[in-house]
Amino acid sequence: MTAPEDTVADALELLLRTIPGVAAVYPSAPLPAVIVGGVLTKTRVVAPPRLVSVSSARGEWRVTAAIGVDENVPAEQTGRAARERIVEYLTSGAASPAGATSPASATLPPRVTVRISMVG
Amino acid sequence: MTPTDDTSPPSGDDLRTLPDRQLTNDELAGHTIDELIDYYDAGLMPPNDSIDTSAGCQLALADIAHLRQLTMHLVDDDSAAQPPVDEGWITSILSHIGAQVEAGRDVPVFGAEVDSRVVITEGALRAIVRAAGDRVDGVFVGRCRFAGDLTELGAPIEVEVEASMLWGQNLMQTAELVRENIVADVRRHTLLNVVAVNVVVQDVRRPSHVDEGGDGREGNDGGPEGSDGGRSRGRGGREGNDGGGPEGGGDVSGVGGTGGAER
Amino acid sequence: MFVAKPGLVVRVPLAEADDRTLAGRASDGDVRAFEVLIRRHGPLVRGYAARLMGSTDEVDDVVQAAFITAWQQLPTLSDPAAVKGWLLRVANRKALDRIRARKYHDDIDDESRPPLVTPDSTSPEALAEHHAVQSALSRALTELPELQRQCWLMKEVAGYSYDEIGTDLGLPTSTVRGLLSRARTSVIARMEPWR
Repeated sequence: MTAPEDTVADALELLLRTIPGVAAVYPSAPLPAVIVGGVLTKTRVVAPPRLVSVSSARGEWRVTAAIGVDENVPAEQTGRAARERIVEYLTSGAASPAGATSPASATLPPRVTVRISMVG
Repeated sequence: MTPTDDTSPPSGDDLRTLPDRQLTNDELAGHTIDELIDYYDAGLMPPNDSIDTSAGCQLALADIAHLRQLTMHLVDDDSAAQPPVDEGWITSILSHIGAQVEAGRDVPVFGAEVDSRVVITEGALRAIVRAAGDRVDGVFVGRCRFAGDLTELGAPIEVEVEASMLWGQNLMQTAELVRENIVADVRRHTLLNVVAVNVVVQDVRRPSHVDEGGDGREGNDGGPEGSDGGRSRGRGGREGNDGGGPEGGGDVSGVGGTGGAER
Repeated sequence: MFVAKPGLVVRVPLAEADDRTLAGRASDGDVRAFEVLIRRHGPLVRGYAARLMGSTDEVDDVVQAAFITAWQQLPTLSDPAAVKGWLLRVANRKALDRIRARKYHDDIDDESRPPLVTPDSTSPEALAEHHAVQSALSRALTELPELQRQCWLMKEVAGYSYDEIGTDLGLPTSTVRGLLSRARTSVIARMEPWR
């Protein structure tokens, strides 16, 4: 059974890859978690950690995405576009955060961090 | 069979048991080989009359010098005798390290709130600076540092880069190009408030085709004994570049601010 | 984090940059600069590690581990221009670790390891005397007891102080002095015919 967070993370990763100027999506979780995830994956018990970190609680989404950007587009522009698209997706009602007591439109604004980890 | 190690300190007698040569304490004027090696390592300082006037000691010092030379040759020979570097071996190292880069601090480029913002890592910022400097002909950017409160949006930031330039280049003009490129690229990508870019020229390379003395494997080796590196470092102190002549010295720093990109 | 981007256009060959520039870039996260350092100093580090371990077996692993550790610790290198000697020291530590592990796992079996290849002393006479002398030194080192050889290499090649050798080998400085003294005495004696 896939957690809703994982579904959103997968969707956001795909979304990011369609944004002009985004050259790569990197794991946003700290490295140790990624390594542990890699080990767990080999045992086929747990799915690998998503590249995009997604969590939700009390009606609020929290997302962190790390991207590499093309040097031909200003990095901050690409970063802002990525952030806007993520917010758009999260507020579109495609998924509801955990703890939401009302329809998606009434939930708290999502907290989104886009980290530009590589340029060029 | 491997000989076993005897970790007890040797007695003075050991020096007398050499098969081929009797190195007696008398012959070495009461000194030991170890003392002589330490004396040699210290550059024969401070002068020791008893060693300097003993024929036996001088002979031993010549041996020591010769052995040092042989050792360096041996290291070179060992190095040259290694099998060609295996590409798979290098790839394997690179695949291990690729995912381990210290990203450094998060530098905000948009949005002030901690939980909803766009940031760029310090590491990515350095990559922008390197790429910008490298675009100038003959220039390699080395280490890059930022001063100022990187974590506060809009705070004034200073950039300091080390650079390697080509022999014969006008260092001041080249540094200015490096500075312009860096200011322009950092602003374009991040909107950061870069107020100064200091370019420290720490190496002046001879063009590789002139370097016929090299063995071709390494190009210009700027290691400790590399002539280029040594000379430019010697010249390149932070002081003494005021004249602004073409070979004017190492530290070509300047304040950019809004003027950095114009001039 | 960064990932080296394949297909990146390199305008100027970075291989021409000096050690300090490369080490500075690498400590800032430039994988390409580090690759140049590996190519430039890999053979030296490999040759040194093989001497230290007295064997070419495992040397690829040890040197590989050394470079990976070097990458992680590069930001702590205070003088990037001295990266060559620093790499030797990182490799030195890795090689010593491996030697200790080897001792623990197989105590006696020295024969199973491929010996360090030393220049052949019975080569045709046409061989320059240089080679004969070098192979004499090479043999002298190979024949030293292990600890003596390690002390000697660390002092004479990697530039360690007596205290530093003691720390890395876990021996009192006085013992290091003793071992070095023996090593030197026998190396000098073995080199006698070539003087």
